Amino acid sequence: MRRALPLAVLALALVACGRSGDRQTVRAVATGFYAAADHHDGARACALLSSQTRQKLEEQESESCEKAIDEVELKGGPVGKVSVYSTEAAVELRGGDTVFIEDTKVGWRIAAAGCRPTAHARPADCDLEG
Amino acid sequence: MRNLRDNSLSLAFLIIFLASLAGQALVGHGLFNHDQLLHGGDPISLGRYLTTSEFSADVAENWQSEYLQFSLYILGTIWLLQRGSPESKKLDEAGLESDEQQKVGRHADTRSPLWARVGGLRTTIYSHSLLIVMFTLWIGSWLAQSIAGWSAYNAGQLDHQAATVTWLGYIGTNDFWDRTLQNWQSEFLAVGSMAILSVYLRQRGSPESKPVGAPHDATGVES
Repeated sequence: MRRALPLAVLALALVACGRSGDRQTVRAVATGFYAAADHHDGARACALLSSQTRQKLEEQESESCEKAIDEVELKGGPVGKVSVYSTEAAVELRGGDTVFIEDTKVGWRIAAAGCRPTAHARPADCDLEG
Repeated sequence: MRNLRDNSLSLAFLIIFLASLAGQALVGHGLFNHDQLLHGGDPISLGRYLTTSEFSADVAENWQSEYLQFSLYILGTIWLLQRGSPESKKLDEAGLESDEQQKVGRHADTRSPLWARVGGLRTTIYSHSLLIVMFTLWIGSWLAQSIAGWSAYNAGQLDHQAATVTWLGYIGTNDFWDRTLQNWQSEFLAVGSMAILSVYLRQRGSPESKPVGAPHDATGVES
């Protein structure tokens, strides 16, 4: 068992806990985005979106992200559960939305927000997604 | 130079193991980034890829099946027989054999390992040490596969804004058993093939083969 333990611990350390700092970072991205949206700081909110999500929002609303973000239905709340798996993460806001975040070349950015879970096997219903 | 020659088998396999692991890392990285682009994501660096659960799971799922293969092979060949195969013991030698045959305790000689000579619990443990270690490595790498695979699975779930599963939930998924069984079937096929093919086919010079002129029904005979 002594030989098995290092292998399992290595896997656990590398993937189950995530890289150090990732949990704090995705938490900050989620709270930062909702705070910016709440204060109508479109520039700050849009800077925290992934490029694909930002582009899709602009195409859907036919206006700049900084203006379009105000149209998105967002429901914030205190941070509940933070999940980080490989290059994907999710932050559940207690009483509010779930935010899906991905690791991009410029850091962790929001892939989808304003999400509410649906039936177990189906994707969440999101007001903002890439 | 003598050391190199006398350990050439393990050294050669260590080298090709490291080379193929490096190759797997490179092509796995390319495949991961290809998938990222298809999903509108950004490519990641090789260094980042090596820390992903996708890479860990891909490595661990293969390691666990190899150690299971050898565990079952070591265990199975104690009692199971194959007439004509050099992989099998002789037909009248099934089982753990006598202390005299195994050179343990008072039957050990001066060159026998210490734990083969001393008797008691240490000799018992040493007598099964190969299987114990192989089995432990299998369990450890299967556990590593389950943890890394769980993380990779959940990453895929989050990429599609779907719900994640617990580790216990993951080991009941088709994903976990697909990774597991696709490896197991190939390992068992390899051992079974070797057991049968070595009855009728030969490779001159290899200890895995019977001598070229040995009859097909000669069992437990190696070059």
